[in-house]
Amino acid sequence: MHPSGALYWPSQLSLLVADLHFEKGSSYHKTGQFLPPYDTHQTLEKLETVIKYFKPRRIFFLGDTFHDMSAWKRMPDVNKSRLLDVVEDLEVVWIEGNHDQGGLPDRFKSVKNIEVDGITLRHIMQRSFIGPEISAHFHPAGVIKFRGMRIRRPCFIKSGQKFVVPSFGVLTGGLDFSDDAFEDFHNCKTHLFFLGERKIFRSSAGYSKNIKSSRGDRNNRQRG
Amino acid sequence: MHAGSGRDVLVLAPTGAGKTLSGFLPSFLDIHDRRSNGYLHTLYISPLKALTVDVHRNITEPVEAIGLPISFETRTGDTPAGRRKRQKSKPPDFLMTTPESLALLLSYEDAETYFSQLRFIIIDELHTFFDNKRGDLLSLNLERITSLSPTAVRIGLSATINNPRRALDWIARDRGSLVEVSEAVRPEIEILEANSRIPWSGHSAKHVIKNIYENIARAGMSIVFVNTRAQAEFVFQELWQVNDKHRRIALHHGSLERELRRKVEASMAAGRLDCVVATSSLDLGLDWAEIDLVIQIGAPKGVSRLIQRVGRSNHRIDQPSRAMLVPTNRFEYLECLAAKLEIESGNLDGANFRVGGLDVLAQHLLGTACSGNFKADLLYFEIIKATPYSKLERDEFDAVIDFVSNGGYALKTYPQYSRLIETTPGTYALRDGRIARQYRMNIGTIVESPMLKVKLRNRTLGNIEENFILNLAQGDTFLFGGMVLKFERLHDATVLVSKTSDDEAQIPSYAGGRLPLTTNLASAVRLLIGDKTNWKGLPVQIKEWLNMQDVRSHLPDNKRLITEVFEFKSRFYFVVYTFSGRNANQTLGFLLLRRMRRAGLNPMGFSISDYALAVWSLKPVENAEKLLEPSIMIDEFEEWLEETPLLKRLFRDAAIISGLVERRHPGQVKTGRQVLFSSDLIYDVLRRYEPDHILLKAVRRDAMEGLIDASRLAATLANFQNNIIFKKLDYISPMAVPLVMQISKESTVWSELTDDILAESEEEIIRAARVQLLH
Repeated sequence: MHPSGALYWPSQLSLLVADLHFEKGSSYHKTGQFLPPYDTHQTLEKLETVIKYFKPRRIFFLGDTFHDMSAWKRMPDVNKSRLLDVVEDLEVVWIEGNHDQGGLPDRFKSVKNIEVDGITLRHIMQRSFIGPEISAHFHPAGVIKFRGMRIRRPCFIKSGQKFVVPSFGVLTGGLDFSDDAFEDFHNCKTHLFFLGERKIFRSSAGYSKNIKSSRGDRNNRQRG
Repeated sequence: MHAGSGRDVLVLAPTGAGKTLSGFLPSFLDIHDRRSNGYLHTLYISPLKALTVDVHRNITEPVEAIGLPISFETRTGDTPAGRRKRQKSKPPDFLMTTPESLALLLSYEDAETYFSQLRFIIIDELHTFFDNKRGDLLSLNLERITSLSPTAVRIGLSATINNPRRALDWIARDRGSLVEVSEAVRPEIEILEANSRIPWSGHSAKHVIKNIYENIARAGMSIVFVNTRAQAEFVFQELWQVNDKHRRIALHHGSLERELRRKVEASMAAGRLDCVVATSSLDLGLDWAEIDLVIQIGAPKGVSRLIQRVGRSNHRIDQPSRAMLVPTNRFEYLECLAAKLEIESGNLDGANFRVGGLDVLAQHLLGTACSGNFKADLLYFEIIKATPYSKLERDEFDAVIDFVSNGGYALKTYPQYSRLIETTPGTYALRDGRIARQYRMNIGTIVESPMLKVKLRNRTLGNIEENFILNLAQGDTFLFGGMVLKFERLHDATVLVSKTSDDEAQIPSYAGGRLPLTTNLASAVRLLIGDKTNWKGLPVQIKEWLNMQDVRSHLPDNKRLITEVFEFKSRFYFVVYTFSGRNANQTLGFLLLRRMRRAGLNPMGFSISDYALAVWSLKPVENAEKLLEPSIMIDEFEEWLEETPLLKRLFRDAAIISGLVERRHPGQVKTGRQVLFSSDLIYDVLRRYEPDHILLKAVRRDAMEGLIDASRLAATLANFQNNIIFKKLDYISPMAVPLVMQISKESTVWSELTDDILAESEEEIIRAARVQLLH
């Protein structure tokens, strides 16, 4: 796990990145909201940095790589070629997200999901799925508490056979871990890995303890 | 009367002197001569919707009784669509409205005809407009009206202030006249004498709730003013707990449903209530029946503000208003007494005049484009006539046009989406009507923070700021609606909570927007403390507290800056008694963190009040003078400004006001599953790629005055540069106790420490885990 939000898979020499949401800023221009048009550029910069660092052979885009179906078309040429350049020597696997079903650069195809070394990769977690699964979509973030101080950061989530990665895009925001979307993870088996500025920080006690006790309270109340 | 002569007028009068009615007189005389002709004749603008309704009622009744053929109508955000439509096609003679609704009227394509015959513009409670963005917007709209109807006379009505000339400049087109009505009688103010112990810190007033109740029970109608919503909730509950005489007590604050507030107001006017607990939502010149007593709980924060509140009681000009001040802690006692002395000697706060915001200008430019094409040259000269924008440079103006048009970025990527089109060089037109509709949905300069519903099982308790909730972790407890609640989780933009048996909440309620102490009152408090001959009016426990400070450390006064260092619970505290208000103190706190870190003192955090700040560190401060050298305002300040989350908070508002992003409207849920862009991220991107962007400039400028209060801090540091007293103490000093007590509750995390804190917490968790394994 890398503090950029990327996941490196050494045995596969593979890099996983999710929810890049290219051209998110410009998607709002149509509506008259002129967000700064630099998010694509900055996300690309991040991508170049991690690829240079890990030197993977293969890269998995775990869905929502483009913010909408016309994002690729809208992307300024200079950024188009930057994206193609950076993945040029790599095997690229595009997994389809809910934002980008179609609209990929011409010579690529996307898949709904893929199994690699017994692990299923897909954009949105499937609750009923049994077996190891890596997904994205929710942009998980959480609060870490320490001595009365609190910090909110994006995080990886690991629980049992499920693994959720944070968003890699720079203008994407995060969904709080306490949200019901993460209900399945609100138990003591869950580990959160927060993105620091320079490294990953692991936390489990803070969350799981509280959740466990509050869940316990509720159960007791119901029984009583 | 002056206004009849075509000159603009500013009427300054104390509350209750009947100034509102006096403002209408010239207009009545004029309309009587001209008769109504189907055009808008007089515009009345007030800062509060409720006030327009109230004034409407007070004016309509007598006019109808006499049988004058004049039509009066109100126009606010609450006006039903049908009536709005009719008001557009068939305007009343008198229209009573708010700055936001005025901006809306001016954005229609027929604005030119609509305002063409306007004769008078009356602006009530003018003093509330000088130092905020609503005032910026109003000043721009006044110039717009003057361009449409050059002869319309402006009449400003204001509470008494100590710099009326500047206020006149603000309102008048050119040389106007000033009418000052002097005070007939000074208000009578007393401070509640309680037998119980006055707390060190906190704002609960729990210790004197019985005394407050006794005073309410004795009076006829009373208003209890508090400073924050949370406090209003708390006091209201406490009063009902002791309400054994069955007084009819109601609650009035900004986050209550509008209908509920209206109901309370109507009940007050009809005399069906005995007492209302209220925040500033009831502050302004509403003419509420007979009020015998005003009780102010907590620090008044400023002399003029207090006079306004006190003026709510007894609207008869020959009798003094009666008010009672209830300090909730020791510093507040000093502040209450100082305010009382200031009022008695007639020292008012100066009104603050601000430089107009560029975000407001952006909104105004788009609004102007909505009403029709504009020529940039002409519009520029119109805008610099508005006092807040009189120093606006042409290139800044052009940059704002560029911003309105397409975001104003150096990188021009998507010209097809531009909002403005330059039809001929220097003339701008709106791209299409959809943009006008969007603009009208987003008018205004008041940005409410996004709210989330709070639910306890199936019961909705009310709304709470989203930002407050996002900083909570599961299991954190907080106070809401008078209950200690435990945060469980978010569900579809709803905050699910459970009850807890804890008495105290871990996280203090969000109390944003608290006003800082005014410079004038701060100086009065220093004078009071510094000279023992002033202590006559103080209760014994406060005198003992001050005496103890005198013996153990040093008393603050007007000539010196007192600082202390001491060890407490294995940390070192560095306390500076600036008396510069909470905003300036917060800024100094952040700067000191930086400077102390550089000096290797390992600072950990700080806490603030209006009077002082305390920084805690692992190593003791040895040289206070060096730390407080005014160079901190350059070296550390510049760095900090680039990184501070405070700017992000301001940016959020500016992004909405300027139209960069749309407002969230009630019912339009955008949290939870739909992950939206956050203005914080936009800020980061902008800072990185276009540090000179016009919106960043706007935010930096705003910050210097309000939230960061840099000018006030710089003045404090410069004033006391060679007069710093540094006391090294063996124990915590008496005056520092409130601050140190506060530390566990609201310490501030320094963003640079993020990784350090995470690392430390990780270690602790690992350690804890290991201990568990061993046992």
